[in-house]
Amino acid sequence: MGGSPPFVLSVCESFRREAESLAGTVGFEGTAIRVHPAKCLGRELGWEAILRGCPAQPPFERLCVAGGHCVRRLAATNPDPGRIAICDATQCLYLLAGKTYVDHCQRRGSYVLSPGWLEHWEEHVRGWGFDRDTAPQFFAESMKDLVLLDTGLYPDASGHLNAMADFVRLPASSVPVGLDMFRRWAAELALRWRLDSAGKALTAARAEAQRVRAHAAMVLDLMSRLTDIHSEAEVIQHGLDVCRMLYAPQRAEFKAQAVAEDLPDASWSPDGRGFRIRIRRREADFGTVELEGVAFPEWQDRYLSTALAIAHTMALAISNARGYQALQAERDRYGAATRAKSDFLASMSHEIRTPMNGVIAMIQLLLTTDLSSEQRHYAEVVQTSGRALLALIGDILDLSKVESGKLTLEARDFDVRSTLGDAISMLEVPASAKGLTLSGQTAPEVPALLKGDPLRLRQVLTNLIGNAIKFTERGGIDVRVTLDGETTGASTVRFAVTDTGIGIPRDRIAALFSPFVQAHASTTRKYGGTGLGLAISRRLAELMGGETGVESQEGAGSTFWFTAVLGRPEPEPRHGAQPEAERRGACLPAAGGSLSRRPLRILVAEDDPSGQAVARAQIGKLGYQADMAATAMEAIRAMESGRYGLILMDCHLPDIDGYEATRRIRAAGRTDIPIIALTADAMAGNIDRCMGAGMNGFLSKPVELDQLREALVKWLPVRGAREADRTAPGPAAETAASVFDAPGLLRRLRDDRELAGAVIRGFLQDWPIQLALLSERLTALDAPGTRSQAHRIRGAAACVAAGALSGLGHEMERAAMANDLDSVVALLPRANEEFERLKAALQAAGWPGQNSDLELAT
Amino acid sequence: MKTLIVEDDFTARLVLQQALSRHGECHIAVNGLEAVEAVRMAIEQGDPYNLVCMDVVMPEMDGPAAVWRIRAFEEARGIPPAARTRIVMTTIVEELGGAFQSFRQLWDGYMMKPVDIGELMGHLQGFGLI
Repeated sequence: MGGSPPFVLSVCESFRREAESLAGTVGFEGTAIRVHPAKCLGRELGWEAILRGCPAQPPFERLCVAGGHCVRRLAATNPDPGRIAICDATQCLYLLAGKTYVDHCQRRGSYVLSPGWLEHWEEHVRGWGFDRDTAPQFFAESMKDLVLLDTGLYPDASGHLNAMADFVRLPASSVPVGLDMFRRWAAELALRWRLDSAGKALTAARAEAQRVRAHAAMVLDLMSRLTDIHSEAEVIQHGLDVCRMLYAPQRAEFKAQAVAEDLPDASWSPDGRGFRIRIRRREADFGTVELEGVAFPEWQDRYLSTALAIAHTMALAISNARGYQALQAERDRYGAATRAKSDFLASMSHEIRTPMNGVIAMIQLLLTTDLSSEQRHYAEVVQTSGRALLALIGDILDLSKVESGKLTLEARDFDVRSTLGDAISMLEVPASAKGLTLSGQTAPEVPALLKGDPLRLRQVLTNLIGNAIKFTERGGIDVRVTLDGETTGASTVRFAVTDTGIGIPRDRIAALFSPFVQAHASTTRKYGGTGLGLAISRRLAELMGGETGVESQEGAGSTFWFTAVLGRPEPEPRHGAQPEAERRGACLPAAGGSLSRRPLRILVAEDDPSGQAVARAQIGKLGYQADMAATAMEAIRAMESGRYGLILMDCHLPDIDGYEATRRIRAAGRTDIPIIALTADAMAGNIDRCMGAGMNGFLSKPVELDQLREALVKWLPVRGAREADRTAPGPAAETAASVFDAPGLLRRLRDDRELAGAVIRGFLQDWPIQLALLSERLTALDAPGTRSQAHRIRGAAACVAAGALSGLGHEMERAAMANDLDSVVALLPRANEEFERLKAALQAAGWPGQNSDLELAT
Repeated sequence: MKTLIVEDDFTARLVLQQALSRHGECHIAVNGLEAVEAVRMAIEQGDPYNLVCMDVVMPEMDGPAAVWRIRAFEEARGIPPAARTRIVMTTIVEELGGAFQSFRQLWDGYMMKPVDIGELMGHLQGFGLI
């Protein structure tokens, strides 16, 4: 504390003697008294005057500036409120006699004086501007007498009092107040300071304890975090922070350069005020941490033990970070590349597909015109190339879907034998067109019912079989399904496709399942195909927990095989437990017991109660369950439950409108759920907004039951409509449809036989293409695409008055609409039969006319 | 007469094209998106289509959606209803109800598929195009 007193009391010079009398008294030990100018004497009282002569750092712990109202205004400019206190007694006289007595005298009309002031009475009175003549008049007007509070410290106090009394012509008396009051007051100030500083010390001690504890916690935290920091720079930074906290060095530094091999793990600098620790781990030497000017070098031992722990932790963390960075970089490179590739492919594929459709359509049109044989040949090459390009794009889309993880497998009960049958019937036509046999056989020990994704399974099978057909010129293809192994609840099933084709050179086998690789460099030109089929097949087999492989002998044929781990089904649910909507099956596209687990509930976002009632009744009548949401937010929340298969969304909701709600649902990743707008205002711009917001369709209010049914049938993502469709008889016109209705065709074409001939010719030529496009959509498991293709086939057949074929197309369209691609596949052989029948009927009737060229079409 | 045929099926398109090309220029679009684009361009070039034959079910964008956009575009260009492009929908029986009917104010006629050329000519006469 440098000998300067901790507590300083500063009083005005009028109280000098009283204050000085305190020195050394009990309770006032270690106190210093200072005197500041008396403002009432016309002296300037500012902080400069008060602090003048106070010792500099540290002058005091607490300075108490005491006085009456003259010190009050100093508070505003207090230069150091932490250490300097203003002690404002309101009137300085209170310090001598107490407030009660002084107030009493003043109320009585006495002019109360302190002895210190009285010593300078003439100075004061003349300073106010009074002289011997004017003073009595002023005092007589406002005072009755003079009262001196005599502290006994001014020997000539009574002389001054008499002189003043004479000057102002007032009676005077003296009250011997002594020093009791003043001392008590001063002692109180000192005590308060002691208590304060004791409290402060306590607080400081507590804060210090907390700080230490916080430091310890931080050090522990940093140490533990070191091991999961993934950047080397951060590890070093944190390591140095820990050192700074523990050792408070003036300088802490990490040096990455290597040091002499024989340097110990920790060593003190020659001056003993710093040390160096090595950061190394096994063979790897990461560098050193050097600390200079540590705070308490006398704690060497303690420092070194913690420093070594830090060094080891840092070394471990740095090696972690490096490993992590390496992995991360690799993953980023790979992930970014894959993602970019998938995104690019997906968007490009779409962009290419649209104009390609136009190209192919125009070529088809071109082929119906009068062309020279050379032109026809060119156009046909363009057509073939275009189709190959479209097939490639479809495959790329598929592969990018698998690679970006967007593909999930279904798990439903199915019969692997019928899956094999489907695959074979899809490819029978191209096989027999090449004169190849196609057979399939399932070993008896393969369970009748398995659980898995039959569509994806069939996709792999058709890929492999299609490949085999492509690369086989004579002989045939045989598919074997065997049991590879069984565990509780799952069977590993092996599918092997053996051909008698060209085989594969041994050195090409390994690369065969990579994208865009075909065994023979020349194969693409000769055999067509995208080179993606095997890559997709391998990915799909992997998704099904299986493997892929090939055994081949060049020139003698190949066997491509894959395995899939398929579950065994749980016991069938009891029929009584079916939901109501399913029991009503006949009138709606309900899911049959084992076919579907998809929700059939419909969410209606509609705020109008009567609108809600209508919707509920209509939806109930159609056999579905409806839940109501009165606001968009409610609807968005309800969506999170995942139980809804479709939303009917009113466009005008009280909180946010249906467009915005749709956008939010879509933005939340629910792109799969159909949202149908309900709008009273069926204006074009409105519908545009619906579509722009991501809605799938719209119904204008008031909604009619038929419209609603149509929308639900179209958009509800359920499977298994075939049960309903099969029981519902088709339109009579279609069941009794003729193979070819020549009179009908001619009537529609106003007896234009030439036009009729051109139409039939075009149709016959187009048919194989359309059927191939259908197979392609089926292979890609694209239900909407299958549906639109079936629709096209149906329309084309109707156009040439081929009623039966058109009806078949209609049947396929309905099945595809209900997501039931199995049924579409089952109808394929019939479609070919019908087409043959049509061709026979046309030929019998002499169509398509004189320049008939049926061979072209077949 | 300038016509746009919007039809994704080749055979059906062939019939319409054969019938309509005898009466003037005849363009083809294979989906709704192409159709909207074609109509928009024709209007902007000051030579709009007199007639659009529009299929209902098509890939990319279906007929009703395309008609909505075409009408919205015409509205935006301030084309009065009397001067707008005549649109005939070509459809099949089960598309006739429901949603299709709720857009009936937007199109000028419809034909059942397969198209009967006599019926088509009837529409053209009704519109005063032939």
